[in-house]
Amino acid sequence: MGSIFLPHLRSGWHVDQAILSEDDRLVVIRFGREEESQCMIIDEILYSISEKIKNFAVIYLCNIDRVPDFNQMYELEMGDRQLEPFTIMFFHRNKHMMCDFGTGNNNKLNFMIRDKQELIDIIETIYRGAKKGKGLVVSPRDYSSIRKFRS
Amino acid sequence: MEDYEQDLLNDFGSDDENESNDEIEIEPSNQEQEELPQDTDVQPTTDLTFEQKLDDIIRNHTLHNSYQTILNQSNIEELSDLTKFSKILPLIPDIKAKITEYSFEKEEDEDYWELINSLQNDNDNNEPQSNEYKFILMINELSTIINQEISTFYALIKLQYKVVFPELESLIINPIDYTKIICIIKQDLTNIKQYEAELKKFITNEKVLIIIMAALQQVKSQFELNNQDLDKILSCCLLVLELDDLLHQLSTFISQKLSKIAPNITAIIGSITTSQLLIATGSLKQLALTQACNLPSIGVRDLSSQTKTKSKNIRQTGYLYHSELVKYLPEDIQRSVMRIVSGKIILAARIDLSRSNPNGEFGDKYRQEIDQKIEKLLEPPQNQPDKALPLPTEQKSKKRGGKRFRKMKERFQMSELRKAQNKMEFGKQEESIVDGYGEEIGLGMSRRSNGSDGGRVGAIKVNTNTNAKMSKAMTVRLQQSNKLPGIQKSHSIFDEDFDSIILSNPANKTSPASNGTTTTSSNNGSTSSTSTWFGGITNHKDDDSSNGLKRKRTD
Repeated sequence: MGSIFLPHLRSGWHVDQAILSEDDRLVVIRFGREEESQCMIIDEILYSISEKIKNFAVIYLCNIDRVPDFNQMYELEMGDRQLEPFTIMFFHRNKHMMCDFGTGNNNKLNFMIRDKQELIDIIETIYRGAKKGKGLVVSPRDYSSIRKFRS
Repeated sequence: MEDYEQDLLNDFGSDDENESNDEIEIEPSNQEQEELPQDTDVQPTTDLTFEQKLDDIIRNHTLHNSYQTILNQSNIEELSDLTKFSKILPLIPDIKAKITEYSFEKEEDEDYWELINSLQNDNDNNEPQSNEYKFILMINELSTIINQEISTFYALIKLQYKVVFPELESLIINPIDYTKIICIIKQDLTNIKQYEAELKKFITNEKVLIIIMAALQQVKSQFELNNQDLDKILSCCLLVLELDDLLHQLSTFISQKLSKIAPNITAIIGSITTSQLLIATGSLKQLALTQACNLPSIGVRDLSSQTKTKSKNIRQTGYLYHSELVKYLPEDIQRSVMRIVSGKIILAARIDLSRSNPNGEFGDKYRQEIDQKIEKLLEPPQNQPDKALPLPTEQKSKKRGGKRFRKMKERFQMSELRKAQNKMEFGKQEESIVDGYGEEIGLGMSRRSNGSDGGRVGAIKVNTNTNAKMSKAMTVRLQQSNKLPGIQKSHSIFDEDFDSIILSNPANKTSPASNGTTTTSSNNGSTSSTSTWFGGITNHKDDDSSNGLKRKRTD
């Protein structure tokens, strides 16, 4: 239940400010619905690493029912709910960071990662890329088979 | 009543496990003998002195148990007065008298200390012990007997009172409180509310409430005892209370005494444990000499596997373990607390032995320290937050090129010769050698030749980087050692210009025909060589000419 301590973004304006205000840290925003179990799990994992990565990344949570402003732009509600329980997106200095997970969608992280260290590694890799001015980085692990494992 | 007897027997089995581990089997004949005086009365021993009587009780105690004696009665329900089975009861007035006597006596003389000391000094105990000291020793034994008697009579009361108020024994576990309640309420459960104020004097309000509620529920199914039976119970109750009172008196007496003898130890661990330790070790001096690590082992009931110990972690369940300070602590810190406490006790014992601190301030100080340490041990471990990871900034590696780094790399590179060996020449048979293990090693192009004669190694540049090198410091050291006078001579002969000595012998020059062919050829070389060689020769020519000549002859 530690995830309630993570900052929640209550409106589109808050989301914008969160992305804009951060100067040299990566902004990680989880879009999703807290009432769904998969989302709860990832929230807990995010909370557990939030203290560790606070030097180079900051994590925000955003409920897509309460803040529907980005659903269209980021295609948050397009997919099947079962297949996409949440969406984690990365921003650096108001720039959307892409990451090649091998899943075909480089825009967002929308699958469950249960290993904390893996998630830290992904965030760190994106941060390194962002620092070098890159817009797309390659994930340290390939997640092309993640759907197979899950179902 | 038969089933009560059965109950009694069952109870006996379970009780005895807890209280006396040393249940000794008695041969039937012996038992008969012992029982006779017990059965009739304790009176025959009245003509004996008080000490002897106490002695008797203590000795008999090891042989039997009053519980057993009572159980052996065939007509248990017909007996009117159970209190006569108490072995202590007839002695109570005597003991009390002794206590008052000794506790007042204390004021006038300090020599108790001296007496104890004198006892310590001779180990063979030939000197008569002071009565008081003996009495203290006995009291210690006695207290266990009294405790046992209390539990015996408590069990009897429980069995008899069960019919009136069975729930009471589970509500009130303390035997003394239980008997006190019985004394107050008797079997008047219907009007129990009247006694509320009285009960509240010695038990908590909640407990009183629970008792009253349970009693009111019990009223319907209550069994009324006749007066005779009730009297029997009450007499037992009075006996238990009296025994308890005696026990209190004894402990206050002992603690009074001990605060004189060992004020600091008493301040740390309390009078009961202090007395146990003192008696177990024999004296204060012995206690002071005991090592702290051995203290927890003192008073361990038995080391055999028979008894169940409370915890698996702690084997040393001695007096210290059962002391008030340690007993109620959680199991996982008990051991470390015992270690702390035993260290302080030994220190306090030494202070007490030197009698430098008769008021026990040091003991109080130690006790505070111990309490602080226990507090600390009881604290839950601090919850440390996750440490943030460092910023993943990319630094360029500090190692770059440079003369030294390049040289270092060259030293570990594969040499040209080795590279050549690994190559094969096309269309020619490779030369090979056989090494010491019989393995054939191909030489590849390392013998790359100009012609068919096998070629020369020299065609390929040999890697000079791997040559042995001398450090600057080493060369300096060598030069310094050369300057030493003692080494000078031998060094000049054998080391430097050995060959040149031979070659440049003036005698050799004068008679070249007398020498072998080998020397002539080398002579030619030497003559044709540069003048630097001659510089060496001239240095040693004079003093070594005869020496060089001899060598030539042997050739």
